[in-house]
Amino acid sequence: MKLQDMISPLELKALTHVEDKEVEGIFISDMLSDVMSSAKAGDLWLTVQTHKNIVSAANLVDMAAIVVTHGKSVPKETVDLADRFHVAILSCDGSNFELSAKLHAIGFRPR
Amino acid sequence: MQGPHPDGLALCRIQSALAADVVVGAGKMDIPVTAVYASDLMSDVLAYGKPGSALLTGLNSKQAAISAYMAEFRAVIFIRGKRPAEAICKFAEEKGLVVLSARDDMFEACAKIADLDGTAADPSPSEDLRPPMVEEETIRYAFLIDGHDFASAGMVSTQVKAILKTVGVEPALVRRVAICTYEGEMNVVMHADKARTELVLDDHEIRVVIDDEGKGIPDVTLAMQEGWTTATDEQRALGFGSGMGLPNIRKNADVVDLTSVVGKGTRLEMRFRVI
Amino acid sequence: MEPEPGYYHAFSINEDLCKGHSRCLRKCPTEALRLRRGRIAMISERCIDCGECLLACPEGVFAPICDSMEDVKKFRHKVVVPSPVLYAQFGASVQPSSIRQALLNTGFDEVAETFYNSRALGVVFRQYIQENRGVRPLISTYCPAVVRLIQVKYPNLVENLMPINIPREITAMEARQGAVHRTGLPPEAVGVFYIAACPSIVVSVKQPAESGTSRFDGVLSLRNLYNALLPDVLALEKAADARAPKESFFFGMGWSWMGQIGQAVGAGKCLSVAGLDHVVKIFDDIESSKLRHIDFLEALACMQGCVGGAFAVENPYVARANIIHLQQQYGQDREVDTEAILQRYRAGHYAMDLPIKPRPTRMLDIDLPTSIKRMKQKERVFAKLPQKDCGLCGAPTCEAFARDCALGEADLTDCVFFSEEAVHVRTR
Repeated sequence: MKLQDMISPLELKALTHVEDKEVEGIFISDMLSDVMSSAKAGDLWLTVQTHKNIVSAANLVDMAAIVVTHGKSVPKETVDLADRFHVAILSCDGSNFELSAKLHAIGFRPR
Repeated sequence: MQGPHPDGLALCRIQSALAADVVVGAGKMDIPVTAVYASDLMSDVLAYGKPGSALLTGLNSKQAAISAYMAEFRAVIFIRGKRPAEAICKFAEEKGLVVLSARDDMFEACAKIADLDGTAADPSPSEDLRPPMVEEETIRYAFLIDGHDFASAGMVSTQVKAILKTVGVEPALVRRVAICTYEGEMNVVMHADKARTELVLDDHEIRVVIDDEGKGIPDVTLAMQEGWTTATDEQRALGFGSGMGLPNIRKNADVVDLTSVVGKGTRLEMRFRVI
Repeated sequence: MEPEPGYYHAFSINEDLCKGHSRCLRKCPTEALRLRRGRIAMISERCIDCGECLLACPEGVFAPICDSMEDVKKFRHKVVVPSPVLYAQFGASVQPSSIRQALLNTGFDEVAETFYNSRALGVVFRQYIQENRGVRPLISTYCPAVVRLIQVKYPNLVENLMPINIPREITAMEARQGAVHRTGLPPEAVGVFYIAACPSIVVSVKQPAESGTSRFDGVLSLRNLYNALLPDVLALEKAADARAPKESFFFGMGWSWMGQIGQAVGAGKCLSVAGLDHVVKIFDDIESSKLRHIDFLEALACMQGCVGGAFAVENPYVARANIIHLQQQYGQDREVDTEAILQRYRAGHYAMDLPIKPRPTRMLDIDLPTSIKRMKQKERVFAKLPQKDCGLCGAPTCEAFARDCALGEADLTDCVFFSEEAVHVRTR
């Protein structure tokens, strides 16, 4: 499923420039070590972490985008870094669980 | 976090949907959970999690079990086939937590649970299930003030000040709230028998309400004037009751609401805008 | 948020010596210390350099960073300004001249005293209090630890700090000018050093609260110098002629224990408080605008005042008795030229270089709603904690621990009431 097709049904807010990428899978974790060891390229990453290190982790694994859940405010330095590395960050008010349910409901299935 | 199952979803249904192993609490599988919280960040579990939930996490550490216990959760479900250590199981057993271990990753597990009861078919959650950041964030504290207790006067305003400082409210505003609370507290100590004090803080307002039981004020408008006092000579000798209390409150608070019933008590509500 | 400025501290932490007594954690007035994984850690922006940890630690984990005689010898002309406390360290009968001579013997060319300036400042304070009717009470800036306590925990009270310089800084300035005039040396060839009774003075010289520059080139610890001075002082005393006329030495009030500054001000309503526990109570009262009727507050961090400083050798109560003796012997002097002092005051001679600003406060999180959430989380953790303040988790109180957990700086597993493993880490 295309990232652009998710934005409106999931009510995502783009905090950076968002390129239209194919989302291959969903990875939910708040531990950077997990992301670096288990996430796959093309995954959409759902997390409550907002520290600028998330940008480096997403960049390393080449993830489709980061979705910061729980409506957390993302610090400016994180957004700035994401813009520099062309990593897309979106945010949503819902929880990890709620967003998963919505993704499932709109018919998203991991590859 | 969101609560898709207001009436609760029995743990055995989650267990069978995920084909999860029961690690602790085999006898408690009919207990319902009212929400699912999926995260690895334990400092957030306490901030966002609601009592009665199940924690879905990839953090295989005792920290997860302790946080779930503190947040009054009913179950911890470890994902990606993680098996908790002996110490975690022992702790969970002691505290009555159910522990499951599922092979799915977080997204698969969330999707499968959401599929139960057909909740995933409804993408717009109902009003009371709105995610927490959209809700107004409020914190409340309650204190008691003893009338006639000059020895402890100022304790409540000191506590209020400490709370506001810890949260990180701007210093000048903390000072205004502290001054008003202190004046209100002194009025109780001098004129009332006892009072309940409530501090309510949200992201746009600080509210202090002092509700006392005592003789009350016959003329509220008069009481608001500078120099008006009914303090005794002894009280004034101690440096209290100069009749500046209420005017000082009016000067420092953005909104003051004073209501009184003679013979019953006085209610003083002070509001401060947070910019 | 602004980047956090680095704060200089007057001591180093030798972790290897730490046996985990956690006495320092409990004594720290700003809760700036933690034991993390059995190692001591300091939250730099909270530390006010009061020296309580130095006094509390039986292992000497906290080592003061001071200058040494080697640093002094780099200068061609060496001036020393002793803390008044120095004169109370060698017994009541020792003559000040013996102590001054011993200082010269250690390698100084000149001893400059703060006493005349202290007396002059009494006049200046009185004048300032009369001229400035707005803010009350005005707070003395004599104690650097108290000034830092205000910057960190009572940012609102920064405006109460009296913008008048302190005796030692004024003395340093005058001593340098005098030395340059007499020796013909350039100012940078003259080294002016203070002998301090506490570590907070070291910080006030290396990183002044008003973010200007101190007039001192360095600070020596009274404790370090004591052993070098003692044999000389005793020898000089022995050799001294008991029938010699009393030396002309002016000690004045010798600001070194509680109440002296207030007494120097004289007029108006003055309040004196010493010991951080008590200072904090008074500051809480001022913040509730309880002490509006007080004109001037002398607040000192150490018990009894500077005689109780961490670098003092003599027991503060004995030192206090010695000070009283010195005041009786050398307290009187010729008349004060009030007019000359006020003239210098108006010319800005006693003014502080720059205003003192509060240290930036830190929210619990990036914005207020999230901070409130963190606060709720803190209360939730706190409610479930044993509330015994045992300190075994490495935080001074359960309250501080709950806050650390909410900030993600500590793990709930550090609480020994939740996990036995924590006990093993702590007793490693």
